[in-house]
Amino acid sequence: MSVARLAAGRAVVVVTLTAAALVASAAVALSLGSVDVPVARVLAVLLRRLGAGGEVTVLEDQLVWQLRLPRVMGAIAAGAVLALCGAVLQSLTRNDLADPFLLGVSSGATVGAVTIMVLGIGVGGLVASAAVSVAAFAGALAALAVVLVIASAGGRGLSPHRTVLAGVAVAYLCSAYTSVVVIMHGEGDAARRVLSWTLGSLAGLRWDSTLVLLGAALVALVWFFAYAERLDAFTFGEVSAQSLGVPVTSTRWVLMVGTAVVTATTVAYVGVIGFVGLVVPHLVRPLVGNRHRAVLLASAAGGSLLLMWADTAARSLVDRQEVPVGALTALLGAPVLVWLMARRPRA
Amino acid sequence: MTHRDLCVHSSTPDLRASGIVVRLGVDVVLDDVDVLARGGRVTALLGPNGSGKTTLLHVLAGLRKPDRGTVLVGDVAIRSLSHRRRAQTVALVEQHATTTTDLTVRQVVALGRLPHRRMLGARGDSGAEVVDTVMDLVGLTHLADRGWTTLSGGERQRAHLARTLAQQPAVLLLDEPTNHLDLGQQLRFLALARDLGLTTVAALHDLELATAFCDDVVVLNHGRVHGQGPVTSTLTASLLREVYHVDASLDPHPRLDRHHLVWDGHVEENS
Amino acid sequence: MIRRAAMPGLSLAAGAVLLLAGCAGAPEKETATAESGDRFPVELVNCDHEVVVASTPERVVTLNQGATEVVLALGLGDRLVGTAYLDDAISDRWAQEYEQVPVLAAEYPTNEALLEAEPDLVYASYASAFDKGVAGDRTVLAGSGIQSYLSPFGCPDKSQRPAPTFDAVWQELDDVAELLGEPGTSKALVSEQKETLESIRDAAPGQGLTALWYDSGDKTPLVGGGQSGPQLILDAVGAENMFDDIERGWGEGSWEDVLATDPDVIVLADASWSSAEEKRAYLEKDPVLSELTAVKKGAFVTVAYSEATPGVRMVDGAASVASQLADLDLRP
Repeated sequence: MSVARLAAGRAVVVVTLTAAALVASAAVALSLGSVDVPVARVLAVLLRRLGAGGEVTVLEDQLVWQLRLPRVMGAIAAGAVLALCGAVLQSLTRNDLADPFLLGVSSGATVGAVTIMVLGIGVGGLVASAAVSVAAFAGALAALAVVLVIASAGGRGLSPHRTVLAGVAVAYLCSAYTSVVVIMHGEGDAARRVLSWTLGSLAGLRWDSTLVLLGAALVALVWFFAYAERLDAFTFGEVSAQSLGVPVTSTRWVLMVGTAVVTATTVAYVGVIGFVGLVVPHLVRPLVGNRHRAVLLASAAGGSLLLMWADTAARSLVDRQEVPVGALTALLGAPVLVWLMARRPRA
Repeated sequence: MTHRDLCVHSSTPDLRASGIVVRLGVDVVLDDVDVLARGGRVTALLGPNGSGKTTLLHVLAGLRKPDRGTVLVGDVAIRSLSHRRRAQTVALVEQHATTTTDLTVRQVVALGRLPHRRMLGARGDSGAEVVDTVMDLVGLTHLADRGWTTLSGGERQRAHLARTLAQQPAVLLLDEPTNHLDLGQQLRFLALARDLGLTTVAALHDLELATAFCDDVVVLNHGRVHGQGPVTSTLTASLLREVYHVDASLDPHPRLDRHHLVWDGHVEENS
Repeated sequence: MIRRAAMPGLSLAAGAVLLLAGCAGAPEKETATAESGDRFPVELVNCDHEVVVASTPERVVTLNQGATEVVLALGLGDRLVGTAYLDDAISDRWAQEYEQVPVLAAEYPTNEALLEAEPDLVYASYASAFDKGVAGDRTVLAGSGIQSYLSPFGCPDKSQRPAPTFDAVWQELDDVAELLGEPGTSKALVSEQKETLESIRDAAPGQGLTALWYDSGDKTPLVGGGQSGPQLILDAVGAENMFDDIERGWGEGSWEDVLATDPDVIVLADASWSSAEEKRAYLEKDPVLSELTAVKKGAFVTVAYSEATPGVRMVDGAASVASQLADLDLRP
């Protein structure tokens, strides 16, 4: 009893510490950039915006509040969404390698984005980056629909096995389209732009996009948290979940579609950022245990922290050159994953 | 406190299945199966591999909708219950259910409280008391904070049993619960399950264990019931020859006050 | 680098009036009828490859827009038996001559399509034109009697590429004119371009102004750096390039720096894949960038991408920027 309480207590401590680290590092991240703004001035800008008054220059306000804060908050939101979706899908499919892009969302989004970027098909008067977001979101949902239709064909619900295979098939199909379009129709620096989109970037996020991302993160957190105990019931598989009174098929549909929709929203704005969703849940489980309430909260906080730092590194490592943030998360994530797998207990 | 006090069901209802048909593609897995498991007694579900035991248990548990037929707990149709009510009524220990997720024993047992909780119900009855009681009942209290992956086979089965008891069911279904257990673990597990006094149906391989621990038997073969009733009067030599193709019989035990299985040699398989 | 160095067209304007009007008029072929017998063989080393032209090339194929425009600017369009691969559109001033030339392919032609044109000289802007599937290796081509010239800005070995200057552009014009047996054509063209450039420098309509050269991109801007066309053009008009510390022709800038500098004028590159109009709309719509002084004042200058890459049209680019700056009248 006391030890169980202790484990729950530890989850609270881990989540609290991560959240505190998030706030502190956000202040530091806000001071970094190609123009120097000391942390004290960052705080002055934030306090003034929050109604505490004080004097700041227009430039300081623009840099901190208009350019950097949306980006930092966007990283926090996107990191939370990706890690939450990874945690949910890993449990739902009982597959350690599941990530938010399992259901073809990333490849579908890439098809949408490439269609706009390379073929230059316009979307009703939107500027290029907004058109890419819309097309990516639409592509992601289309791919999801195809995956679900294939996976659920012939009844018997959405078997994880079939869903994963359908996701793989759709991903290959989409990547064929992407390659053909880029090779046959790419002009200028099309290939580079497509590559950099598929590696993800939080550059250029403004409040309008960031608010959508924050909304997606909030929805994901509340929604999946509500399903946390049902996810616990999947620990021993589908039959056991069913015998515990979980409506397996509807739970699976709701969660798979839910993760795909919030992931698609994220991908539409920041591209495909890999490894956060794969690694963070594995990273937090040894710290907070395996109950999903703790895993989900800690994943959200950990994903935010990881992506915020990866993005800060992405924009400050090389002067005036964005390092693709997806490359950095992979660089950090891959060794961590190998290490975690190596020390994992066996069933 | 005993398990009986835990039960939300004041009675131990009969479990009755009638006219159950399950098809899988063109195969008929269960063909017009009628089963009666009497309240508070332990019924062994016997039959060779592939005779349909697991499918029948899933139908009895309300997890699988049969193509035809109904399952009644007392006088309530199992498929008419909500998912949560159903899980509060019937609990199933699956065959060899395991995981790579390292939950503690207490957390595994606490899964059984799920049907009694609301989706965001952090408040109110966490069922901690029930969890403590059932862990005590199956003798796992000292292992409460051990991780799943460190448990022996017998300990895992007892944890599963405790988890189903935490559901506070009226009916307990066990699917080959003694597989992968050594002899001592097998005997202790079945004694434990028998002494709970719930309406229990246990799919078993081992006729000797069935004879020793169960009150009644149902014998399935090729998806049909080949006999059911009290153990000694049902497991006749002719039934054993017909179903298992062996020359065997249940004889009174020389020292103990029960029957045991005696066999001599193999009989030729006939169609 | 991200941007391939394209090789565009020419300019001919002389005198400030014509210059500010944006230049026009086709070059006259001044020495077209000269005896060419004593001019051959022409030998020169081009990107570490020895080019030997024994007699007047009469069947020239140009690959890439820059090479095509050089030949047209020299007034030697009648030598062309094929051309391929435009980045955008051929400058209006040679559009008519260009019409007469067979287009072998929209992008690179296949090797067979190229040979079918029976060229005696292949002239390209980028090394990729001599890839296996296209024209093929230059030595192999020479073995079958087809000579080749590659713009020095496109040498496969980057160390052999000249610094992108007007002089280097003019050197290429001289090379090509010589290979085609008409050295006089480049002399006239180059001296006209020099004159135009001088008058732009004298007028210096960008004196005292800081400029952002906005090439493409929105989340992070790709901007003109200190090492190529954008810098040369801004130097010519006397303006300061705010990103002149980027040691490349083009590179990623940062909106933060743009906000901090608040440039006086923004040059918008106009290309098919990123139009000036698109970029202006983006700047005017963005909640932060719309606050820039230049955006609020509408201090925009547009320049065609082909006129801002080292090539025969770069002087046109300078003239166009100079004229638009003069119209804006931003000088303090």
